[in-house]
Amino acid sequence: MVVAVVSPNSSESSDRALVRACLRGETQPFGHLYRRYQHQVRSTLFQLCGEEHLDDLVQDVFLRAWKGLPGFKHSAKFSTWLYRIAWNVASDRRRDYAKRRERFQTAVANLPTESNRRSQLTQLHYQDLVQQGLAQLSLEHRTVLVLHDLEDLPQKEVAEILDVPIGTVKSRLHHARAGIRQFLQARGIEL
Amino acid sequence: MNRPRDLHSDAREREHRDLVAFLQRHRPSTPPAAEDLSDRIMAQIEILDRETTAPQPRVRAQLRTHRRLVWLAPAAIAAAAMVTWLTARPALEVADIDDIEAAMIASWQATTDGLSDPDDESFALFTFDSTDEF
Repeated sequence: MVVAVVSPNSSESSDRALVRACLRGETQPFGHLYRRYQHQVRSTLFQLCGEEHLDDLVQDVFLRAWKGLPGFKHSAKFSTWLYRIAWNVASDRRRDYAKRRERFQTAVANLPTESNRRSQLTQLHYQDLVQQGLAQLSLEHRTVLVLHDLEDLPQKEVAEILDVPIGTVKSRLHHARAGIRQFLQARGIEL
Repeated sequence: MNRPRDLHSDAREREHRDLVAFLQRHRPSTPPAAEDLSDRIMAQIEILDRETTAPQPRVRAQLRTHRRLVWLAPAAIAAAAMVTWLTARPALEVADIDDIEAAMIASWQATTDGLSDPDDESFALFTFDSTDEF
């Protein structure tokens, strides 16, 4: 999967200019912001929430962003602010994730026995395993792993998005990696 | 002395790198967005924009009117009360004044008639004879 990478320095000033234009009542510049960030937002929400209602979640993020623009501090990074909205949207759907995880755990419990697990695993796609591994993490751990390891955001920015100390990010990242590693190793993947 | 710890740290770092590389290589593909998602979002934003920005001048004008009304209300109430008081208050006409005067005299006489006991000294304090000297 190719995720559009936004060059931080070049885009920041341009983001601010677009935001200012939006605040003057122009909607067109928001279209640029949408096209610029929809891949990251979509990808993050997908890793955090799964496929169900993904379009609605993306829409929710951008509508919240539009409504919240008057409160956006220009000293902040637009992408950080947007990720934060995405995180809030994902958090609001926490109950849905919990239900999905429950369903997933039931499915895991019904997996075949050790003797035929190896052959079964070969049929599973690694992508599915990663997705399942992410799904079994808590939302807090999953979010840190997705933002830092998959979206390549620095720990400092992850801390800003989640509004937690950087030490908490490090701790959650450690536990998240340990959790997903354990999950993958239990399914025969050597890392 | 730090060497064993460094080795341990390096090994852990390598493990992390391997794990992250695996996750990035096999991260689930994000399903494509609905073709009209962008249009849907922008249409919603147009609606929101109309709701939040277009009515603003009208809302501001309404607020200004309301504020004026708020200031006008006490003044209007006070003026109405004043007018009511002035118009409702009974004007004393000449006939009324005569009646009142007559009533007061009658009342005074009745009072003094009952108390005009020449033996009553206390009364003497308040009455005087026409022959008294000043």
